[in-house]
Amino acid sequence: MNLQRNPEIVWRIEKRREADVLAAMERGEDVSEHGTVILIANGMMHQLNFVGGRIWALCDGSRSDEELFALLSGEFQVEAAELAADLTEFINDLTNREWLRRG
Amino acid sequence: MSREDDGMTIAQLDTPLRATWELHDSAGEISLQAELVAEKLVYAGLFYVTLVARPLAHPAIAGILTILRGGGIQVQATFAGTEEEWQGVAGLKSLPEIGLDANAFLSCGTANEWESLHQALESLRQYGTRPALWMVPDRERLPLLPQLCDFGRRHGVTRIKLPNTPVDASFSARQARSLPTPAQLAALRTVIIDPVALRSGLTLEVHDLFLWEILFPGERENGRSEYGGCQAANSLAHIAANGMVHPCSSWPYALGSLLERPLEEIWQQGARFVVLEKIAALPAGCAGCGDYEQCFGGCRGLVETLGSADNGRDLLCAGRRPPSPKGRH
Repeated sequence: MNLQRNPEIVWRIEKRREADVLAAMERGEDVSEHGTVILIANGMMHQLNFVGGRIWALCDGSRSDEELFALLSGEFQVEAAELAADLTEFINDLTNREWLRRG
Repeated sequence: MSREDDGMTIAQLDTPLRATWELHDSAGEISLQAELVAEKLVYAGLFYVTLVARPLAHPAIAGILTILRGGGIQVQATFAGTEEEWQGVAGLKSLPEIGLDANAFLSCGTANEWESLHQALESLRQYGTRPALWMVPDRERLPLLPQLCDFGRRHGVTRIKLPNTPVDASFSARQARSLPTPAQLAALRTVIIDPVALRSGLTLEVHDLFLWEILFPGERENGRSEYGGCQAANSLAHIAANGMVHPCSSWPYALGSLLERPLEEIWQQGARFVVLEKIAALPAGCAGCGDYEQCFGGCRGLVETLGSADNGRDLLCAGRRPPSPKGRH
């Protein structure tokens, strides 16, 4: 079943931050600690970094895990095994939190 | 890829996430160009807007709600029970989430006042809404808090909100004297013998840290999860009836007019960063306090607006506290 964002969670992309992160990535800097997506779950604010935010944005219920993986592997230069492991861990974390659902 | 739970730095937000918006000013004049303002709030990507100051009596309320909801904003509105507001309610197909403004009904807490509040609650329910109760805990009404909780439980209200004290440019010395004092909070603490029972069946949203401590004792080790310091001019904004953007409803400092500029632009300009610097600065009166990392100086807006006799400490703060023996801080 495809992954879908919990509709009760409000979120948005921080455009200025995202532009800064993209520029930093161009320069080869580590941007893993820089949030670009803000979301509010159960009244608390959280942020996702650029890659996490990209996955979050793609989880609109229209894609399988395999399709997500294929899209991300085209966008990011990461070893396939590393990406698969990171993606699984991220998805498990967010589904455990009920931020993402299978449906 | 990662997700961050805490310690998040959000000073670079494009725009606030939530705002309060006055639809009438203190003289009763309506917010002008309200639909334009609503469109700007939608465009700025806000998540939550709370409409205050008799919003349902605004002649353009239906259009305002359509714009805000259509833009994905979750809308709440306060309700004070005036005749014009009832007319507004009757004219709406779908009400927003309502916060029934207990301050408009209660002063001394007489039986008649509680009955009026009850009647308003039941009348609103006939429109298919389940109102929350809102009460700004001012000096006069703070002692009524236990009764308000009982009232809510008895009448099936599940949410009670105790928001910050709003301040506008016309705030007078008389109004300043309506703020509760640390001594009054201490007196309330002696009255609330069983806070768990007081909260039973209710969701309490409490702005003031020192009041929160009385209502949620023993929960400090878990932190006050929804609070990471004053959010004014950060994730929070206030829109005055004249379209002026303020850091929050307790801080009438002009950041820029929504009638003239988009919120994204106002949010990236110098006036906002002046406010952020003030919030980030350790108030002299808080130096050495063991609880600073819990309260971060508390409500900075009221201190900035009204001044503090205690070197910038929150107006409800009774004094510096010793460092935690566990070295938590």
